[in-house]
Amino acid sequence: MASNPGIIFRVPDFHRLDISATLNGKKYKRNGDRRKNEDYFVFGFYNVYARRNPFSIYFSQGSDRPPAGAPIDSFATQVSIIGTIIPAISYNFKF
Amino acid sequence: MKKYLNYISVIVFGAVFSSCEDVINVELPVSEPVVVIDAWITDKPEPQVIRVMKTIPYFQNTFLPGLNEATVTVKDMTDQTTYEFEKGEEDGEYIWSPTVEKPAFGEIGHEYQLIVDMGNASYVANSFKNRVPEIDSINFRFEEGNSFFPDSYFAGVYATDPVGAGDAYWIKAWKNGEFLNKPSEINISYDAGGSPGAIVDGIPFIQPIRDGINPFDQDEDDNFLSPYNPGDSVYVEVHSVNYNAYTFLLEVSVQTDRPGGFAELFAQPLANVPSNIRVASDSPNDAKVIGFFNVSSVSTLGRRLDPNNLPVKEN
Repeated sequence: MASNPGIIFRVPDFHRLDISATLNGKKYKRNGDRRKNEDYFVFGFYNVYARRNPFSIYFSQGSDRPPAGAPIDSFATQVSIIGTIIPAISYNFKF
Repeated sequence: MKKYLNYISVIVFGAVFSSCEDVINVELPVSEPVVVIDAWITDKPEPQVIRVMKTIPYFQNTFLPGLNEATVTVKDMTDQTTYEFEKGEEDGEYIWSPTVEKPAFGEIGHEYQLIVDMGNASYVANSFKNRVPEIDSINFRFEEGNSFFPDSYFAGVYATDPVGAGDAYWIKAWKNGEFLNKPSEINISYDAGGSPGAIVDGIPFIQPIRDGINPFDQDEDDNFLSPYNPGDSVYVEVHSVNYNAYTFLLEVSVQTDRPGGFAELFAQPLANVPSNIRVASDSPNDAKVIGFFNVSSVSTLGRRLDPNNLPVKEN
């Protein structure tokens, strides 16, 4: 029963840091000729400081059965979809 | 390479399945308390209780404070008799007790009106007392375990919806005397089916309704347990409800049954559950009320699980 209209609760801020580095492949062959293909690796980390960003916040009353007549235990839970650091590696080439 | 694959799979699965849920503190603004009326009346031969209370903040996990200054009456609109609810011992409780002349509340087919007079404001609601089918039987069946379930005994309740569309029921179940009152265990039916969309009238309750009396509990390791074990008892009450009570219970289950996790991707937004109680027109403009009034007929049956007395499987 929200008697005051408008924003009553705002979901916490979403922020994260991703870093990545590119390692280019060699451009020339050992004998000095230019290679036909170009390639490079990309190494990266998604969500470097492993922040649990809020995806949603839901309100529930737990999974236990309250005994008859007892008050209900209600609480709020924040869901984070990827709440940790994720390493990534990719290999790219042109031909 | 195989070794690295193992490492990689551990990292990937760890990231996907690691607990991404945290119980948090949410600062909600305090709003003015509102009157709550909890009035689910049945024709069971026992005292009928109406509770008049006021709301508390969502995270204050205590009893709702009772309001003791109300006058509570239920009027039979069909034959003009009245049922006076007397103030009980507990805070906010108003009780009507059966008498020799009136062993059960109400008559099937009659319309009832609840009037809660608080002095400065009064609240009104209407409800029909609808018919309910007798419970024909409860049976148990044994099913061998699979990768999700252990060897299990399931219970089923059989009752045949009377012919004529528009009946609605709330099927309440108790296992060993404990009421199955999780949000996911709200078992409601419209005629013999789950919703008014499909026409399933005048037949026995369809299978999901029939099996809705099974508790799906898990052990500490999140493995499912057999709903019933030899020696367990099950007791079932079928309550006839009005259509607006059916939609109320449906909405309550949507709003409270929140499994969380990835299911939140598809969750329905929060909303206030509507009430069938209204503020009487001579009350002040700022009077507000929530809660529900419904008069039910009830049929009951219980059974204890005896593994030597199960139906024989036909091959």
